[in-house]
Amino acid sequence: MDQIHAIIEELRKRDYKSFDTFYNLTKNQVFYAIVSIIRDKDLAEDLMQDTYTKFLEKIDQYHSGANPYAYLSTIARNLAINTYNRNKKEIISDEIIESIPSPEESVNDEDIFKILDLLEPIEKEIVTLHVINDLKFKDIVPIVDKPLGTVLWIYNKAIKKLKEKVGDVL
Amino acid sequence: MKKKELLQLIKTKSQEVEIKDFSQNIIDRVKYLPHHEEQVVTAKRKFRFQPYFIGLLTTMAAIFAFVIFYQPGGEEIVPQFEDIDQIIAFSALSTASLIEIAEDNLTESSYSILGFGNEDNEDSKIDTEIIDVSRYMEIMEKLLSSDNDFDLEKEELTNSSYQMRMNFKTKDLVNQQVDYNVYYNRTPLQNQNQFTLNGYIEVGDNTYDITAEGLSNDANHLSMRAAKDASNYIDMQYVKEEFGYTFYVQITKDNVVIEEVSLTVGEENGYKQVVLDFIEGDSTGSYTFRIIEEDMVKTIRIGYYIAGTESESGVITVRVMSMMNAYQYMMVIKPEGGTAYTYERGRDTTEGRGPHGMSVVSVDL
Repeated sequence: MDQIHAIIEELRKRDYKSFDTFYNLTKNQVFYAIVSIIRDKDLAEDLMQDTYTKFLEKIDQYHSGANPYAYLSTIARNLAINTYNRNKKEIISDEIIESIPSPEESVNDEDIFKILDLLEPIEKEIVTLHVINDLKFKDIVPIVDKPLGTVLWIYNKAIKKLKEKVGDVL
Repeated sequence: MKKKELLQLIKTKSQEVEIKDFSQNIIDRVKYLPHHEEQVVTAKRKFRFQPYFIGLLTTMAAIFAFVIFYQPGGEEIVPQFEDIDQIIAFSALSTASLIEIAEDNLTESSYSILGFGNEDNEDSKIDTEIIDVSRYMEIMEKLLSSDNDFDLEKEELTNSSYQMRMNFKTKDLVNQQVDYNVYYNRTPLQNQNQFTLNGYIEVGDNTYDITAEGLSNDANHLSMRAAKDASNYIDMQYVKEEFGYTFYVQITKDNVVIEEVSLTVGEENGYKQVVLDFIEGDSTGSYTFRIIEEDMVKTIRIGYYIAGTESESGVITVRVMSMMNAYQYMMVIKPEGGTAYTYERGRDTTEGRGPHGMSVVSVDL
């Protein structure tokens, strides 16, 4: 974590020489924060770039010492939700379903998606943030805007569900 | 599939997905962004974990007392506590356990490494966790030993400033019995789901003030908060699940969460067990406690799993030893693939400790 905080201080000064390291340290968290909401991998990759761009653009708003993974996950999630909602609206209003990737299109066949698809959206998001992104529950609370107890409850329910069903999809 | 296997599977599968490197694209994009004025930011406050715990303990005791006794309207909530003895046991033992956690210095002075065999385990994660895990030994010992023999009694008080008194008893690994008394008043608020609770809990020579307020919503999912003040409080989520009971406990000090654990009481393969999971704080890992009987002696068997880049699992066997009229825990740690080695620590229980739990019983071999 010290390394990532040091890089963020460099980025704050518009010094981007270590950005590739920062990207590699955080890309999994950003990617999975997005794909827990939007399944389309191509779209997720676009949103990844938007997430980092937004992070760098607003880096002065990042508080030193905050959890950068949680911060990036929040930006990624918000962008993903906006995109998801926008796509849904466009599909309904313009009826051009074929031209717009819906959240359920471009289905990825990697095992991780088969596993996560066993879960309800909020379960998927919390499991992703905690298990894959290594975020602590207290950091997940502000991201999903639910009380800690509810987050823990949903998480445990999801894990229980996966224990029962994961064998069916792999 | 076991939980740890599932979590490992998810992690492994997530790492199989190739994520492209867009770092150069992103840099190219941001180089053309307008420059923003630098904003003054302050570092997140850090704190240490010790003196205020005694104060917080009182509110924690209130929470557990609430779980034991709270019955809003009589009929709606009571059915959720089908096995109320387990809840009572858990509550009593948890209260005691929290004193152990509160007294950070206690473990420093009551610990020593006997030092045979652990030179092969220098990188063992359990070495750094065992002190924190052992703080929960008292709660586990009492919960698992007491079984269904809590002998709960409730009494309405007439000549007292408190409306109710509850008495219950626990046993431990060496069959000692401890009495717990809770005196309290409960006042419903305008919203019938809300209440306030005031009183104290009495354990041995110690008493702890309890104040709490809570909110209950359904029979199997009870949320509570006990507050010392607006910035210092404890949240607890009680959940009755198919396989047992889970308590999620979160302690907040000065608006910062400092400790979070879950304790799941259940049964597996005919054994009663308690699973301790460290969720937040300095400690980590999942620990399954059971009591087994070997050669007519009761021992605690702890299976542990500590996640991480290199996860670690193993077994800890704990016996209570009597030395010079004092008891202590003898722990044999056997990491999977490693060599067994030993820890010991003083075993001073809540009821045997002086006021506020400040005394230490420690016996060096």
